[in-house]
Amino acid sequence: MNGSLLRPLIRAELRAELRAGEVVMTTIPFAASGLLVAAIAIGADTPLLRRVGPGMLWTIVLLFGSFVTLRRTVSGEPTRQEVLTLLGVDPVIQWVARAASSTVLLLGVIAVLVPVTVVIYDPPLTGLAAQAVAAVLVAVGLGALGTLAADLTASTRTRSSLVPLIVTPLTLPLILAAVQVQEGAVYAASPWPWLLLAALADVTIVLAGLLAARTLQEGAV
Amino acid sequence: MRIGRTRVLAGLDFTVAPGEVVGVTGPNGSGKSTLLRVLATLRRPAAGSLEILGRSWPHVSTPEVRRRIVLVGHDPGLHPDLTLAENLELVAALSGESSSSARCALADVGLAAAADRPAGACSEGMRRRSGLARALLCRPQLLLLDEPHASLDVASRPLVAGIADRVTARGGAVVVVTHDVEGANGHLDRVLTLQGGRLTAEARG
Repeated sequence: MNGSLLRPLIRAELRAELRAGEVVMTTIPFAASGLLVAAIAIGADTPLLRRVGPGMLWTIVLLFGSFVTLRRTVSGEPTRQEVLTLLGVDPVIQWVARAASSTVLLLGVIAVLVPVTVVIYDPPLTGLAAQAVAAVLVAVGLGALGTLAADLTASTRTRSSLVPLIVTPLTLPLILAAVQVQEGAVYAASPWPWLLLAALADVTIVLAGLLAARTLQEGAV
Repeated sequence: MRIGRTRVLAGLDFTVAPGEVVGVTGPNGSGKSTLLRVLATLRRPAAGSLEILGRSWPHVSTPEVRRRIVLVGHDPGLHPDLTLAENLELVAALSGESSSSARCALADVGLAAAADRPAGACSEGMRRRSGLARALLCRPQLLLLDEPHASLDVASRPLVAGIADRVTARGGAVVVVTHDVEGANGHLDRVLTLQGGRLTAEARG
């Protein structure tokens, strides 16, 4: 496995996304309006909004995040995958490039949605370092799981609905951890058990992706 | 060679020597494109033996062998949101070539002026030519072309022969699937005819 091939692949994935604007022009505005609509539905109950804000943020990240992994990728389409295979790019490298670029894009989505949540819900801003770590862990896990689910459903016609269906239940440990880290900050509880849970979930998901990458691609051969 | 329960290729026995350009023809559905995909190591034969570039199946599907093969199919595998140059630069970066060589390859197939155009905004013929540019860039030892003249204008057709000549001059081999045997005949050393997945005729070009 040649890691030096990762950089040009990730750069091409991100460049293609910036050019297409699927995440910036569609996912982020849609997710931000989801946060706003939920706040309007809850009503002008400021203490309640402050209480539910972080949970809302992570629910929206989870629901909309899986669509980030469904974007048109450089190495996700069968013909482009074949070109990369004939260039000697290992399927594992292709998978890591897709998962890593999805993670970067998800971090971008979270970076935009956090200030939106702060403005709309006014949650308590404590324990920011632990919450930043939780955000990175959520992005890594969601990026990897979404990429794996996208690969698993690549040949199905119902892919766009199947991916969120697969991803949503499996990311519950990540979302639970992220919300509990924020709760812990409010009540001065240690964030470490929850961060550890998220890290364990990430390791499991990434390992599953790495192990499945070659089988999924070569299985089609 | 089977796809599902359907036998697509059977009883095929042929060799392509270094420096040779072999044409494959036959009616639609005769297995020509599937044969190319088997030769590209992208499809696994169900039975029989296969030797590509000195390696026998299943040891052919390694990065070392695959890097020496280029398949230019109907879909050249370009990302529509990247420019032609960016698509080729990615290929160059992954095959250890400089990004300037990607632009040179595009210029060689007459796409210098369109290099900065998104692939999705290019015509079918231009995308086809960028697939040929990839063949120039990667310097394959086995070049597989699936109906390379389709979508190309008359002026661009000699490109295919020129690229095949470059590959054979380096001791490589070329397999061309074509319906236009007469048009390509001057450049083909042999022509194999497939029918129902079987080799029914073999003629000198």
